[in-house]
Amino acid sequence: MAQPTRRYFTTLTELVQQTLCQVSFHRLHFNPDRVIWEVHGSWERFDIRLKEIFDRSGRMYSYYVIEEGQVVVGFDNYPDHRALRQKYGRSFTTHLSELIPHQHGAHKITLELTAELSVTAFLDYLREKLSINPGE
Amino acid sequence: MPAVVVANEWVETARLFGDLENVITDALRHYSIEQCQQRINQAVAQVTSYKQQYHCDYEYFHRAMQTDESFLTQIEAQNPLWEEDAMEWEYWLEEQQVWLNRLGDILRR
Repeated sequence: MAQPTRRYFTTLTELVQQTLCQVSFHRLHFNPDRVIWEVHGSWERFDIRLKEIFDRSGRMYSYYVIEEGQVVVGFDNYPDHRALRQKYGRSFTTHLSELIPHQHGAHKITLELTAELSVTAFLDYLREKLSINPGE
Repeated sequence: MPAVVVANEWVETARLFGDLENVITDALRHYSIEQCQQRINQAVAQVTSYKQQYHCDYEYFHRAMQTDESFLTQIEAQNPLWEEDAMEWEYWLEEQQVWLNRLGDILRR
């Protein structure tokens, strides 16, 4: 998988800054083969946490909405037991190396398979579902 | 072989210690070893902190999160955002191995 450029992460950070409040840039650890990008922000009572990692596995991501320490909604593609079981049923053990995009519901009680998500799509989701509007 | 521009003052100083090409190659070797070691130390520190936090190594953690529902439930109760850690844990393991390999290559030259 082609590595993104520093410009890609600068653009992501700017996009988050335009959308969320109290944005704190946690880090950009960048080398030719691997990258970690992590930014936190907030909107009203919600804490928003975004992390992307590029390495030999591809693009791993974790975008979460938190309220008082509890998950309101979260998107990631880590291939955990529930995501694997939901996607592949009993044959899940033959797919352990795959990334599985999915969505967690409130308190992580529910799990739903999704298409792969980007930061842009996540922010669009927030605007739609949590009535987040930039500049308001 | 690439040519690199070096300020005269460094060239003059390097010549005091012997053949210019050998001195610069030796200096680059030492610098590269030091940089590799710094990156390995950083990765090891990160990996160690995750090991201590989850009381296991990544290989066990990753496999258990994929195959053991009770382990997943237990970890999720402790830290609902464990995916952030898991992704990063894997990242630092890879980082550690890559720099160990690079250091090994340098030391064998």
